Order: sequence, then C-alpha cells, then structure tokens
Amino acid sequence: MALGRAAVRRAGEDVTLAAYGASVHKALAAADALAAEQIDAEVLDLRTLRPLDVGALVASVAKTHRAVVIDEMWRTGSFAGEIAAILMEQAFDQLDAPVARVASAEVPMPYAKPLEDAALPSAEGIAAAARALF
Amino acid sequence: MAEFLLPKLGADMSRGRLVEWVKKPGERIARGEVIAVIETDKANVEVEAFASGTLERVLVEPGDEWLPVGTPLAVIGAAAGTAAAPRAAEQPAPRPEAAPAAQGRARATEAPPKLPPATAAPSPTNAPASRALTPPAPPIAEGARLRVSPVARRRAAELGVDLAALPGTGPHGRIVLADVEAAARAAVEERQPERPAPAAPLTAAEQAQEKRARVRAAIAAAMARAKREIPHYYLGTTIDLTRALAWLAAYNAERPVAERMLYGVLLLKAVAAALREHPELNGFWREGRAELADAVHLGVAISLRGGGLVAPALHDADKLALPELMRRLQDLVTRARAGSLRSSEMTDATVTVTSLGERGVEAVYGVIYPPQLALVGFGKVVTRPWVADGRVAPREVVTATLSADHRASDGHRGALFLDALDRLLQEPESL
Repeated sequence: MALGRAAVRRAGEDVTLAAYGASVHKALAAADALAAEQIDAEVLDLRTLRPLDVGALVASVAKTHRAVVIDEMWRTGSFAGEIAAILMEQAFDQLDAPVARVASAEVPMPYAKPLEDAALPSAEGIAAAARALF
Repeated sequence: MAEFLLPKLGADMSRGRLVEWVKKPGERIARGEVIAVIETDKANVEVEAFASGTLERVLVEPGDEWLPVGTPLAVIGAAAGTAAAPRAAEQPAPRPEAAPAAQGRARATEAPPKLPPATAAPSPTNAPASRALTPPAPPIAEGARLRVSPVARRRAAELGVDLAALPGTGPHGRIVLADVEAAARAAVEERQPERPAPAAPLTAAEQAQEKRARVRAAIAAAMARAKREIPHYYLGTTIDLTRALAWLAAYNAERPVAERMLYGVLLLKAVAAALREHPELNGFWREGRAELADAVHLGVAISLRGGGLVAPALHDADKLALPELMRRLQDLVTRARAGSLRSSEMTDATVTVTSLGERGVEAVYGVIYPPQLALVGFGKVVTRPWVADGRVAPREVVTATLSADHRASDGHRGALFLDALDRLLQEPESL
C-alpha cells in the first residue's frame, strides 16, 4: 500500500465523507442510508494521516462542494479539526457549506458496549451531519 | 483541475456555439493561448485559456447547439511539471475527478468575486418560478450581510448572477451553488423562451437574415440594459485640430505610405492619455460600485459589414507609441471584419471610443456599453470659422463628446476630461 494515498471507497457527487480506520465502514453505511434520500455521498478512505492525501481531499470536495470528516478521537483537538482547517485553507472557494465533523463524545471511553457505541461516531450520526449540510 | 466554461464575452452575450477546438485533448496549454473558437450572436471569437495546464478532455463537441454562458466545455488539468502531475501519472486515480488538483486553480474570466451590497431584500414574489417548490428564504434585513457559500459566490461572479436578488435555499437561508446555477438557467430560459424548431435547411439568404436578427437581438439586450440602468450624462466640446493635423501631415510626408498614420490614432492616444489623468471614467460598474481599471484598454467601435458593430479592446493604448498603436488598430479592424477576434479583446475594454466622422456626422452622443463607465465620441473633422486672439480664421475642428455614468463620475469630472483631451491634442508631438 502506498503511504499518503487515499482511496475512494464509494464515488458520489453530493457530499464527501472523509474517514479512516473503523469509521470508513460507518461512513459507507451512512452513504447507503443517504442514497435512499437521493443524497449521493462519496466515501474517501484516508488510509494514512501522515502523510495525508490532501490532493484527494481537495479534489473530492471540488466535486461535491460539501464535506463531513469522521474521527474517533474526541472532537476537541481531533484530527478531524486539522482536516477541516486544511479544506478551509485549500478548498475555500469550492465549499458550499461549512465542513462538518463527527467525532467521539468527550468522555472517557465507556466500558459497557452500548455506552461505547453511543460515545463513538455512528452511521446515523454521520448521515445526520451530512443531511444538515443541505 | 479546472473546468473551462463558456465565457461571457461582453454584456450582450448570453449563449454561444462551439465552432472548433483549436487544442486537442492531451495538449499543453499556456495561459492566454487560443483554445477554442466560439460563435457568439455577433461574431466568431478565439477564446484564450485562463490558466495554464493540459487539456484533459473536452465535454462538448463542435456543433450547431447554442449553449448558455457558463456551460462547462472542457477540463483543464494541472500544468505538467507541477508537484501534482507526476503523482497523478504514476498511479491512476480511482476516478478522473479524484486526481490531485491543487494546482489546477480556476481563474474566472470575470473579475474576482466582490461582496455585493446587501441592501436589496429579495421578496418571495420575485423569486424565479423554478424555485417554487422550495420555501422562500427569510427576508434579509437591510444592511445585513448576505449568506452565500464560497463556491456559490465564485460561481455567481463567473456567471454574472446578482446575489442580492437570489433566494437562498441552504441552511439559514444561505445561497448555495444550486441556487446560483438555477438562477443562471432561469435567466437563459427567460432570454430564449423557445428553442428554434429544427426546420428545413435555411437558404443562404434566410441564414443571413437570421444572423442579422441575432446580432440585433444581442445589441438590443446590451443597449436596453445600458439605458435602463445607467444614468447617462452627456458633454461635448469642439476641439481645434489644426496643429495636430499639420503635425500629422509633416509626419506622414517623411514616411512611405505603409507607415503613414490616420488622425484617428492621434485621437485614440489622446483619449487614453486623458483617461490616465481622469481614471474615474475608466473601468466598470459592478455590484453597486465603480471598479476603476489600472490599465487603459480602449474599445474601438467597428461597424461590421453585415450590420451591427463590435468594440474590441486595444490593450494598453496609453502605453503604446503612435506607430505601434496604428499597427494594432489596423490589425484589430481587419480581424474584427474577418470575424477572428480574441476573447480578451471582447471582454477587456475599459472604455469605448466611437467615431462616425467618416459618415459625415458632426457629433456622437453614444450609449455606454455596460458595464463600462463612459464612451467617447468623435464627429467629422470640418473647417470652421474660429475666433482666436480676437480674429476670425478658418480652423480644422472636431466635436468630441463624452457619455458617462453619473453613478461613477460627475459632470465636473467629465468636463475636466474633455479639457485634458483638448490640451493633449494641441501638443501632438508629445503624444
């Protein structure tokens, strides 16, 4: 695998869902849910964060004009914030809506499975964040 | 990566027809190179690339179809040799759209987006019918900043859409890309209520007639807009050209016929120099304010053989020496009549100069070509009795007129301009 190369896991025209790791699967599930509502989401698997494939991010947003960044870190200080800032710097004139972030609840990670699921990003949460951009 | 859009080549252009691709997919393009030939309602225009790069693919093939301004015609990729290109080459992107494109920065053919004045509150009643399905935007309070997404703002500048009059359908009533594109489409449909039915092939005479009708329609749209929107004021003065013509005669006497100059070149140069002194007349009125131009590009009104006129730009006329200006003028007139103007010539003019002297007219009070701020007219050079130092003597004189936009300048300023023009024409050797 080439470092610093993102992969488009699902091509779409309306919104970019940028994710890495386990969140990619949730983003794909969210894209399926959005497709039922005629929102055509593109899922970008970042694969590596450093080096980060800024070109792929910018190219995707240049096509969709909207982005949701998904990250399992706490929202404050998360890598999603870094990506949002990069998109603002390098793709400002392409954005049709503010870049949205979906991150984990800012609590110590709960041990109980239902609480852990509630704290982490979910497919429903990603879909809701994407919907709010339209 | 940038989309190459059908540019708006003047205020009277709403659509165009692709005549020919000058560049082929895969070819390198330098900024300013001719990339395609577009037919407008008035003329065939060689359109120049606005950015350097590679013509990746064409989206439209030459044909008879009229396309609205803003239609994507081709995709121009990042210039080879930049950081993005080798990477794109060594590993194919999953989809062409996903290739790195940071370098393929689109530069709009129009001026960069400016904030519109947030004064006009759109009312639901004047919203285009196509938006009837979406809830009307909440009215924007007087003085409030318009909510417009960055891409919508950029596209509105490219397509010439007035944001202040648009309903926003995004979150918080934000104007989004789809609103701008819907408004541009609605505007085009409004202008072309029906598509001409594919009828039997037209005879040459019918084609010529149709072409004339299209030229008139384009001029009608621009001139009606000018008279509707621009509060014109008109000034005129008679300028003694005796010294200038004597100087020109002496100049021409020393030169072979091919290098001789017309007096019109002196007038053009004097206009350009006078505009340098009075820049309030040189530029454009856009989105509620005057944008003064740094350079003086004179639009020279040239009548076309088939009827109608064009006013292509003589670039940097104030900086050119007279012989060079003469050459450029001849070239421009020849190409305008042959129908091979460049897109920059169609869009760059900052002020228009017209002369009907050859037709025996003594004074021209012209209509400003929007979005320009002024138009300078010259009549016929005539010999008139002229009083100088208390004595009547025959002098060669011309009437110079100024039509100017009262929103951008006042009569006092216009008078100073005509005075400067007069003064400059008394010193032809220093032009």
